[in-house]
Amino acid sequence: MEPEDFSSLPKKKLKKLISETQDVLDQLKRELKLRKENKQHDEIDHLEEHFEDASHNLSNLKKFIQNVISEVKSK
Amino acid sequence: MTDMTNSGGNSASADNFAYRIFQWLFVFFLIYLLITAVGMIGSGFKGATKGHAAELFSFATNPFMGLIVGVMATAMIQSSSTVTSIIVGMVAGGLPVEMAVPMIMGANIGTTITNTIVSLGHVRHKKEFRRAFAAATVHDFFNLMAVAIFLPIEILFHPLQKLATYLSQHLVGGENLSVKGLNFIKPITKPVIAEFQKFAEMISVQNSHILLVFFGIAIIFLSIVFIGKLLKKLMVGRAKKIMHASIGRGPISGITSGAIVTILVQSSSTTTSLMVPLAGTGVFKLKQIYPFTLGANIGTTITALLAATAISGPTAILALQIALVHMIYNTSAVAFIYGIKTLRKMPIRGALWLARLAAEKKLYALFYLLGIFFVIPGILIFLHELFA
Repeated sequence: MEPEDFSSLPKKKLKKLISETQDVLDQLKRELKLRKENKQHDEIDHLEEHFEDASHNLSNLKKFIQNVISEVKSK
Repeated sequence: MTDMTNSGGNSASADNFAYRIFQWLFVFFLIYLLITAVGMIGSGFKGATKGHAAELFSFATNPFMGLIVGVMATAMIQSSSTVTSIIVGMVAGGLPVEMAVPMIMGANIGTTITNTIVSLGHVRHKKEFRRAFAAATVHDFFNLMAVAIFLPIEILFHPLQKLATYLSQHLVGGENLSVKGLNFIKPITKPVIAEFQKFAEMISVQNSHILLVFFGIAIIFLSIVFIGKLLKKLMVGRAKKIMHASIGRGPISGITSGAIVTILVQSSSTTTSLMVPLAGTGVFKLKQIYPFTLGANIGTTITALLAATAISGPTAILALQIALVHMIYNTSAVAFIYGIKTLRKMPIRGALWLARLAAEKKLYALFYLLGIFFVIPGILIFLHELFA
């Protein structure tokens, strides 16, 4: 993206442009934050599944050891 | 037709309600069993050591040995609540509080193994594994740092024990009373303890006290496992509400919600393990997971306090002291380490560094897991026994 030349703009117009850009930037940041938070809310809605996932210690360990063995063998 | 559907729905909801009531009653029964079992350990330990508990645990006069015992015991049974409840019972049975303090600190480290194992389940996807492993080990780094800071201070000046002594004197009424306002505990637990004592004598008169301790340990373990399973089902809705409310509200809210969810499910391992898949997906950042994990450290201290209500008589104050040490230690560690910016960042940096290494070579993760929780503590015990 080519940088625009603002040298001809009057100071008042420049200030207005900054203020408008700042507003848009704030809105975009808010939107991004909202989307992130909505995703987090969605994950929390599946808390039962996460509880379930977190209770398979032995199978997790087995899966991991199999992965380590295959990693070691491949090298 | 509509009426029939409604009546069917009403009957299902009535059944559901009755089932929930039954589950809650079972939770209360299990809490009663837990308290009774702590009393059993206290009584059995007192009888088995005949007032010489300190001599039996002479190897733990070295606080680092006490710490290692706490780490290994908790890592093996994967429940800090069980270990701290057992320690409360043993303190009531004559184990000196100063010997029990490092064990309690060790239990904090040992309990972090559970969420680390949970993170290993994400091994098939490199990025996911890196995030999950970092979310799990941030707890390890924090707890290791807390011990590195607080244990030497405690050995030198005993601030935790002194503060706990001061508070427990205000909470316990007198020599023959249990925790103030909870003096009804002894009459309801004593008959069951007496029955188990008789049963232990039937098996072996000579070893009846030791058997009573083992019965106590088994009952504590089982009741905590089942309380955890039931509360997970019963409290999932409330836990969701608390977690939803804490989103976007900063670290203090994260710590508070972590503590409340842990109190609701009565297990710090459950809370910290729950954070692992949430971090693994990338939806929650390590910075957000971290305070919630610290809250779990605070919330879990309720179990030892609950266990301390089981003890009455002259040792009630000691049982309460060790339970309060646990609470003061975990709260101060969070306030101190999280309160100072430089210290706060260290567990995050450590966890990210280790997670990057582990994601590149999974063998490092295995070395870490075995090393921290079993091999290093085992070698230290061996060396201590060799040179002591």
